[in-house]
Amino acid sequence: MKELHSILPFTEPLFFWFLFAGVLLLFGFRALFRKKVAYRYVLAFISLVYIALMFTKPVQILGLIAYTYLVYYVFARKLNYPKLLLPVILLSVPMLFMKTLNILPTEEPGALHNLSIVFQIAGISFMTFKVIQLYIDESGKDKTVSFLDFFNFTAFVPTLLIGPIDRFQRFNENVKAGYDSMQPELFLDGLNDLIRGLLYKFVIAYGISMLFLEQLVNDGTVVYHAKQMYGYLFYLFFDFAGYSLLAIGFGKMMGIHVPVNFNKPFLAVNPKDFWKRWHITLGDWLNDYFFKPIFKELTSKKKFKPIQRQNLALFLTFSLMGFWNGFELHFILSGMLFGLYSVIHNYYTYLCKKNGKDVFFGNLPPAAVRILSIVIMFNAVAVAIYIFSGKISYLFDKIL
Amino acid sequence: MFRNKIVTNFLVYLLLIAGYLLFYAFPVDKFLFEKEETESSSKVNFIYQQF
Repeated sequence: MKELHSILPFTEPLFFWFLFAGVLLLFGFRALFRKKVAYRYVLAFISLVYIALMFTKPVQILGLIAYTYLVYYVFARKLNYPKLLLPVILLSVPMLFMKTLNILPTEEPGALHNLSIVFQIAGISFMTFKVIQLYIDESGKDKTVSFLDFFNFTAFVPTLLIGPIDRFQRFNENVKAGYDSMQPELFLDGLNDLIRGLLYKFVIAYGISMLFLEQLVNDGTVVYHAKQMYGYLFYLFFDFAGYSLLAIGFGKMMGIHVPVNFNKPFLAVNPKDFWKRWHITLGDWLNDYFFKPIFKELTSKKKFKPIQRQNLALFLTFSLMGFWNGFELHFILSGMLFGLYSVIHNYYTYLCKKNGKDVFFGNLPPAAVRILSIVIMFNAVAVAIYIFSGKISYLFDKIL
Repeated sequence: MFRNKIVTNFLVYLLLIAGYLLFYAFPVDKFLFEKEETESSSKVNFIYQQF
């Protein structure tokens, strides 16, 4: 049974069989016991069995869910704590602790090594974003979120590891609808997403990795880095979008409308457009729970001009995204670069409005502007994602 | 619209089956490249474990 505790979502055939069995179980209860056993109990049972038998470090992930629920229950329900900062920090502590351990030398036997074994919990970043969202949106409401609903939301197997980042209110509506949310049309739709996800992740992404990226020989030339950069961008897209489609597909088959995470990102014309197409649920999360509060805070201080406030909030938001990915330099720089792109675009939009004309493209026809914008954005994203990949970390080491 | 969907689905299934045969049933990399081990899914899993 020990070797079972290494099966992350969508990485082993056994996981797929398990989820198919879960879907079958839900449909079985829907047909035979819908009046006796509520949908939410069966959903929780599936999540619990997966975590207990297959997920890496089941005790830690269950402990994390219990801890975050305790923070919610004590601060939001018992103390009616009016501010958000302290509970949000407490909810983030395990993730921050893990990210810190990631940059410390934990390979050598010792206390740090032991701590890293205990606290390296796969999926902790996504879970942290979900529980922060739940806390912010639910803490002011009269009704207490039950532990069962909290568990179903945080431990939902298809999205447990890397999202998409769902919202509690939306997720819980599906759970409340129960077996009625499981419709044959939705099942077939989910199956379609599943097939596309398999194609993206296990054929196209795998093919790019095996037939292209792994065959590149690092001769230090610009051509090598260009090949790596564009190859990795397409690899990451097909792998991550494929993963998201698999989660969406299984979600639909289980009656949960997991939100869409990718929508033709390489057709984005500017950074704002890009984050509405690439990792959409993260972009929306950052906008709602970081950009808007920080912009509001800066506005209340009245220290900066509106354009400066916007730019500062944008830069801080994307820098946070970098830190959220990890405390390694390549993650932080990548986030800051995405922040810089957004600041440049925001300032460009401001100048265009101020001058009443396009200050960069001039009088070019709209179609040409659109094509050029797509080309510029695509290459800017490729550079930022290449830095994110950590494949050029040695360049930073040389510089520093 | 319906016809487009059928064509798209046909292509998706065709590519998936072709990909399965090429990469998993009869791994093409063993014939093409002289490599002991590929990065493949183990690398992917490692990336995801960071998050």
